[in-house]
Amino acid sequence: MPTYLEMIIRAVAIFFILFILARILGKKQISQLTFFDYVTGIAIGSMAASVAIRQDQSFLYGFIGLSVFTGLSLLFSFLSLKSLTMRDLIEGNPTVLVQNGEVLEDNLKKVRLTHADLMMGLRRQNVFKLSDVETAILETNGRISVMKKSQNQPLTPKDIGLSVLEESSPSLVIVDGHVLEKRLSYLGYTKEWLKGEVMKQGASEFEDVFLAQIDSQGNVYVDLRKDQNRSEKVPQKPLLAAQLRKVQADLEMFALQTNDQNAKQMYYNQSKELDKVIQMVNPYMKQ
Amino acid sequence: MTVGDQVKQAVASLKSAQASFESFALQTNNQNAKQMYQNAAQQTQTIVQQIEQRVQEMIDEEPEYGNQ
Repeated sequence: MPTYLEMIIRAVAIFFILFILARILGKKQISQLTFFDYVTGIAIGSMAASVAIRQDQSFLYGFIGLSVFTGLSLLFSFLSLKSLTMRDLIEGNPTVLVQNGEVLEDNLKKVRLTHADLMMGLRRQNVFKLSDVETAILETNGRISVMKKSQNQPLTPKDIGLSVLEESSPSLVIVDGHVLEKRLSYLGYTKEWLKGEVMKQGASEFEDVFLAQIDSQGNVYVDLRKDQNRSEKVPQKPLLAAQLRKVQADLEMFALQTNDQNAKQMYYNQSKELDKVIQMVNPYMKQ
Repeated sequence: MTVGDQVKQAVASLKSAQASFESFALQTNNQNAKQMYQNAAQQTQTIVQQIEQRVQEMIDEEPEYGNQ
């Protein structure tokens, strides 16, 4: 057998073996890898590479090496699942670097991080001032997680007691002109209804639609294939909100204009009622 | 436009808002939102009734409002 043919066969075989081993080792994200996972990965890769291109290397021995490394990694990840002490031993513990705003120099030394490394980690988390940090932790994968002091945390609707619309994740219902019927019926909508919605937004057929997405409110966002025939659509909900506010203002005006005391009171009351309605629906009236 | 006409217009706007609420209530799958839209539609309905009563009174008092 000519040498180049053997090399081709080796390379192809190693390619598929590597693929299978990678699938067996699972889908831990690269960013979640601990240092140990990382070096095992490199070792497996270089073993595979040398078997693939070095003729003097026995294919069988290379295969054995690969299998042993994969098997051991699997065994280790299984052990760290089963036993806490093994987990500490294999993956290590997260290290607290800053606590209550105090940098813990001893811990920094223990994990051999310089102050510059710490500052870089903080800045990557959008923290530029040490004084903003409540806790910073070096995770086992080498990343730094930061909890800011509560006065520096971003304002959430909950903080100011604002009621917001609960929204679940939106789903695509048309992809490249094809209606995803299963998903549509799972969401409880019919194809006919969807057709009406996409026609309102300028498509004449499902085929004209590149992507359509339904949010949990039942709003349909349509992206047409031909970008130029998009017609300006009227945002329904903001329009409704504006309409309500206009009526409320009108009611107040009527209350001022009339001389009839009963009517004045009635207009005034109803304007207050309407204001309540507006307050109630306001969080829902954003497109 | 007389005051009577303006009031009638307000009633029409309210009715259209009420219809929008009802259709939003049907469209959404979110139970909270559905309930909220239904409440809003109901309250709008109450307001419409009150003001329609006033329109009727105005027509009774000054019949020329009615036949415009």
